[in-house]
Amino acid sequence: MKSYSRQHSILFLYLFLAVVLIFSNTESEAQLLDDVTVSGKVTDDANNSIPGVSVYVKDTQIGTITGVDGRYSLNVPSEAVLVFSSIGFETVEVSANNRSVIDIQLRVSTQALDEIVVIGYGTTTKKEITGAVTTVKSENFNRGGFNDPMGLIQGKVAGLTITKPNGADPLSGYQILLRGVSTLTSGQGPLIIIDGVIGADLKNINFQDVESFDVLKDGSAAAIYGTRGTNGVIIITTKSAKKGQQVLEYSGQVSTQVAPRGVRNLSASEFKHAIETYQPSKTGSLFGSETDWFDEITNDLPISYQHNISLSGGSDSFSHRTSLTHSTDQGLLRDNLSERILLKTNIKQRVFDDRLMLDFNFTNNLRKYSPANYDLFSQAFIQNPTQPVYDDSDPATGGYSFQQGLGYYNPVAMLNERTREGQTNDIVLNLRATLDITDNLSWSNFISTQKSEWEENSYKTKYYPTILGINGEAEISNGRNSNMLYESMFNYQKAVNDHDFQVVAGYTFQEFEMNSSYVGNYNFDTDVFRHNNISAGSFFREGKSEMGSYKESSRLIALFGRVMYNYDEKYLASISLRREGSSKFGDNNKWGMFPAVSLGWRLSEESLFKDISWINDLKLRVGYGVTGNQDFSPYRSLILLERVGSLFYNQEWINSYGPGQNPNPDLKWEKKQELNLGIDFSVLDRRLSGSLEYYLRKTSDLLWEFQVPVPPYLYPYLFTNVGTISNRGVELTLNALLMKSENFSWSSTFTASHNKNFLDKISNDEFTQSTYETAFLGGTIGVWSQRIKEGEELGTFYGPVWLGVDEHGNDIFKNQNPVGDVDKSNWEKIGSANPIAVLGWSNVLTYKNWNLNFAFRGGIGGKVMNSNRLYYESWTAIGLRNIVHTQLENPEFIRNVTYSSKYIEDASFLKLDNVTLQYNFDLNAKYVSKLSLVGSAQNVFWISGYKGIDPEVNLGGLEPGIDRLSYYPRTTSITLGVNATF
Amino acid sequence: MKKYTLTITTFVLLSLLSVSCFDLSETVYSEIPVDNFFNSEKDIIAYAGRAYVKLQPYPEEQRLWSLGQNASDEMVIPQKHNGEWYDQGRWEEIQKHTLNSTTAGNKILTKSWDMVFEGITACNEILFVIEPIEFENKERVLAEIKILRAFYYYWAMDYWGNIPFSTDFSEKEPPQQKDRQFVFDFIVQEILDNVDEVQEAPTPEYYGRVTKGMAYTLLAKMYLNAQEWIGENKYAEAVLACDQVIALGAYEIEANFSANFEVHNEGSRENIFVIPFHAQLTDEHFYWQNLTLNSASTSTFNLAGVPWDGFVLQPDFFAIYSDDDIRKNSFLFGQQNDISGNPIVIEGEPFIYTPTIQNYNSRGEWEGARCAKYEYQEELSYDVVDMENDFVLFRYADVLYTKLEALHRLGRTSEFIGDADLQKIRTRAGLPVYTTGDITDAELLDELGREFAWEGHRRQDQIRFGVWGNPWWEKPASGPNKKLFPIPQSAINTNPNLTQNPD
Repeated sequence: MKSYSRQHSILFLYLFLAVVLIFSNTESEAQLLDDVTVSGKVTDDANNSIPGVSVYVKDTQIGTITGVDGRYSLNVPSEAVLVFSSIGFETVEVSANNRSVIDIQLRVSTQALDEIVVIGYGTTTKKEITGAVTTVKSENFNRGGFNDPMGLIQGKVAGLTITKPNGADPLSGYQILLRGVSTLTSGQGPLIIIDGVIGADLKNINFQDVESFDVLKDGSAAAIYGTRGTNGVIIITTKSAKKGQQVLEYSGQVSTQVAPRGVRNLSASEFKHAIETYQPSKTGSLFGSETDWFDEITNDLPISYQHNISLSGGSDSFSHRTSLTHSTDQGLLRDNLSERILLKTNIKQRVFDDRLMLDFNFTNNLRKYSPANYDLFSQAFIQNPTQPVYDDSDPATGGYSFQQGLGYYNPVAMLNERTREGQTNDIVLNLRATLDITDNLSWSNFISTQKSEWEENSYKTKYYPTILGINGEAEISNGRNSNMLYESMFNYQKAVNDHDFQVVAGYTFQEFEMNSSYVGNYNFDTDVFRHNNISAGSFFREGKSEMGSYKESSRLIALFGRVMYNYDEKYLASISLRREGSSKFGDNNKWGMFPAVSLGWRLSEESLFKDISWINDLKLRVGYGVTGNQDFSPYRSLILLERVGSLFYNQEWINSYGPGQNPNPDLKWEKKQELNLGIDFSVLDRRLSGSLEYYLRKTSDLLWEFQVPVPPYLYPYLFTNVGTISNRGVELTLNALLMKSENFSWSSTFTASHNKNFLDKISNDEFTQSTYETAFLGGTIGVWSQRIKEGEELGTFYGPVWLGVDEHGNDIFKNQNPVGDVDKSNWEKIGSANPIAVLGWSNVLTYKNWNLNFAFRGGIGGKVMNSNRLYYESWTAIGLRNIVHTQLENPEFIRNVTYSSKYIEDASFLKLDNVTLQYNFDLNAKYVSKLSLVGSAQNVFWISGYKGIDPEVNLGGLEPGIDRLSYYPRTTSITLGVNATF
Repeated sequence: MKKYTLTITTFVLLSLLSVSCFDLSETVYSEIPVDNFFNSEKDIIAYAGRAYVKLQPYPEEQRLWSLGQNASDEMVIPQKHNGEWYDQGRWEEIQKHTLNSTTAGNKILTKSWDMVFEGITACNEILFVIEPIEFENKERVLAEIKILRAFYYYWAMDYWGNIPFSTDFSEKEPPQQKDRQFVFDFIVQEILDNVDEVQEAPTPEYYGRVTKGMAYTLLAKMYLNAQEWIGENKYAEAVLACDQVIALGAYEIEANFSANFEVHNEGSRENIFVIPFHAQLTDEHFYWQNLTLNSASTSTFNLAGVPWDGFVLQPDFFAIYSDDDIRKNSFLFGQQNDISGNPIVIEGEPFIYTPTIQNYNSRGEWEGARCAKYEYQEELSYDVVDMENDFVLFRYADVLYTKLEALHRLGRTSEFIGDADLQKIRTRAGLPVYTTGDITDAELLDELGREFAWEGHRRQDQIRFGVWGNPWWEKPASGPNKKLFPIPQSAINTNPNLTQNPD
């Protein structure tokens, strides 16, 4: 791994330098004209200096940035026009006129309201938007280091829940859920669009390259994305080429993790004490050693680092930005790591008198990794702490101690005796050509390809505990995914007096292809080959090995259009329509219509409100839109013949073919209708602004595998559309400038959301069953813990109500029968996994050169099933296996574990997600214009009554709120970073 | 600059031309769209063969064989001392006859039903698809599938009595429920209508297929059970059906009982209808070693995988074998030896299977006799190397005993008691031949038990002899309604025409 990284780093550095050299020569003509040095100070209307203002010569790349004191100095041509621009301020252009000192006062941009908001197939401004769209720009991002860019806006967008169910696994990203679960089996993640590429992959961007997020929350905003808009749309715009400034930036981080153990098991001495005191018949399970299994499989202080270097610059007609990232993430689990090299280039060129604009993006993401087996953590948890790790007595186990037990394996042996390696190579290429046909009309064509290749290999030696007796197992799997997108659209803009029109119409075609293959073999004479000589294993020759391959493809085609209109920036309207078809749908339902309409009224522009001085802006919005969900695998509607088994025919074995599924020619998208009401406001000299949303969304034609009678059907399940789910909720966002003085400022963002989910219907005339059991808890528990029931929330736990423990150490339940159990007919609702409210509070404090960010997140009212207690909190579970520490704290309970409300815990929590302290140096150095040092801690602490691993568990899907036994621990990570601009 | 424009224009034009702008048909790669099949005779056989493939799950852990066996007195799955095999009480419900309308979600019950009705629907679908196509031996193939469908219906009416009935795949409404009388008449008529079209002699080419011998054996079983199922005495018809099989002259009683159950039992002249299995090629698996053996038996049979240790002989049943009966060796009991014949000792303890079991709720590791009726090949390991023995559904001894029982019930035992082949069944077991006076109901039931133990016979026999509701070992007495299994809840939920069998 190490030599690989070095080679590639060097290679990429060369490439990068080459790119730098090629592009840097474009500035040479301009430099010939330098002859004046201009310097000065940039201040705001309160005479506070403004750092970070771009100062550049118009139409050139000559430029600089003001220092912390607001000062700048620049060599410019004598007749140059200087441009001063900074986010939040109005841009000013000044002629140099041979002056050597130019002090400038910038006015606070009248409006954050003129801020650009990216919507589907176009942009608008914050004041004109009529849908529920939240924009987060880079200055408001969470600080620190992230291996997934979604970390930048965690807790920042009301209604958008971003959690990390797989803790500190460097290969695992966030789970994103917008406005509750509105599907049963289709995909739940929002549609991700990166720089126009629909369905892009978040892993292909580095967090430092992100410029802004635009979250299209409601149906009226998302309907322009038709069959994929139901779960919301997240549009990510990355930093792109900018004219005028040549900027070289470096940013580096190093971080480490410390692991809080959410759930404790017994230490060796506690285990010994517990067995001797409470279970003396099991002293045979005391093996005399003292082993901390968790310690044995984890790294003490795993180190991760990341370097990012970017260069941008150019002229009016040609500009570029290139960014190179190299990162290595070491997981908490030993041998779990990920290394990534990401190269991204954006080139913009204008030709034909700026009539044609070309915008080209290239991304290559190369990743090598070694994945984690989550089962190791649960094995370490249940492993007997008095059992030694190693035991030389039995040569068959390779020197590891081995105890026979169902699903009980030495995790150190599992870790050491298996090698896993994987790699992915993603290449994204796209080109947008925009032709201005007239001043009002433009035609843009966009073509994009995204190719992802992956390979994953594994080798288990003959000492791997689950395959003892077989000499090694090798596996190779690999595949390729591709996504081709073509779009063509016209954009027309016209203002007549106070009437503003913006019209978009287009066509889109997208094709997805996926293929994969797998080979596995066993019984090797030596462990030397690992997976690199897979035919050497004997199972091939004996006809016992496995292999397979698969390929699928699907298509989406759509026509779309939208008209946005406003009168005097006071009355706003938007109407859109998408007609879209998917190859996945049945023959009888190939095409669907997805209309939307939204209206806005800026009350603050009415004379009545203009007189109220403390109200700066007030807008009412209402929107309605229809979206779809087609996120399921292709071919579900067809009669497909597949091999259904082997048949002994005429003295030989032949393959038998037949339909492999019930065809459904009526299969179609899930349809979601959503009504959204919103208020945007800005008051008290814009020091407090925000929005309030109310929504009602109803998904109908839910897709699910419904049980059907056989006959007439071939198989007992049919994938079809039945039933409705509704979600309703409110979302509040507040942005406040709490304090502002010459040296100190404190601004704060607060978000709160509440969502209520209902399964209205899961039956119809044909499918009459109205309750289904779900969330099966396997193994020794063996019950269904949740019910999908009409009129109830998804994620509702049902079970016996636990009242306490009696003097004999038995559970007491409400309505228990003579045997001490509760009949299923007496089970009650014992909790819902869905929180009543989700809260976020993030803060930015600046004092002189210091900058402090911190962000809290909280959830109120969600219930979580604590599986560790459910499975391991009993004396019957102790013996060969370790148990959870809480049993020792309440030793009076002596019975077998029975599933009940005892294990459903309140998971309300408050979490300090992030604390970041940054210091910006005052630099007057020639080569370094900006330098800052950053220290950051993430997932700092949480407060909760929950006794499990982490109160934040997976809330998506049909079985939310279950803290699984197989998990990856959450850690607190501490990051040190440096950012420099040259 | 011109170059760029050119590139763009070409790009745009090419992409517009190369894709069909509004084509949403699916391209399939790893399956076969139905229109691209049926290009040869072989394809039709491969398609029709699915009706046979649907038989293969029969002897698995959670399918029809297991359901019938575990409800009878010859098998039991007690909970192990470590809690294994409790499985939320699903085996106990079956053994103690407590399956009813509230426990009809039982997994084994559901999977058994699904197996039978998927078989029926597969036959309907195959007939629907291939009937319009012309191919060689078409009449024979159609007749085979129809009799096979009748066989699935025979299972369905035996287990559940009142069942949804459909023979037309184009009918899309959930089928109506039919009673036993209706289904009985259908099965008999279907056999009689088609038996002349199917293969007469059991040639190797027709191994594992529906032949005349199979069809008449099925008919004989229908008539033998007619009294129980439809309240009509059809024992004389049963005798005639058996005589049809005997008259074929194609079958004989193997001199060696175990020859029918060897790894390579395809040479048996006694087996009439089998489900062929292959150690690797069949997707459904035959893995009784896993169901019944304890892990300590690994060294007896040189197993490669660890067996699951669940299905054991019901302790009372063991008593019906005399010590002389060679068929007792279908079961493992007493000291176990390794593959070279040396006694196995584990941690100082001799490895002994005891036919008795102390506690139904806590079976000891080596309690309960185990089944070794089918020979175990070496290196067995679930899903890697499975049992290659072909599973016997019908064999000639069954035909002869059916005839004997029918004649006994007609009071004509003496007509057949001297039959040489019939006597061979007793002599090869190391037992004296029967005389007319030996044949009583009780003796016949025990003898059927001894001969056909674990072959999927017992439930039908116990019901026919009227002892199904009797208590045995841990099983309490059960009511007459328990002769039918409840219809699984999933079937009740999905077909509004179905009425649950009475509790």
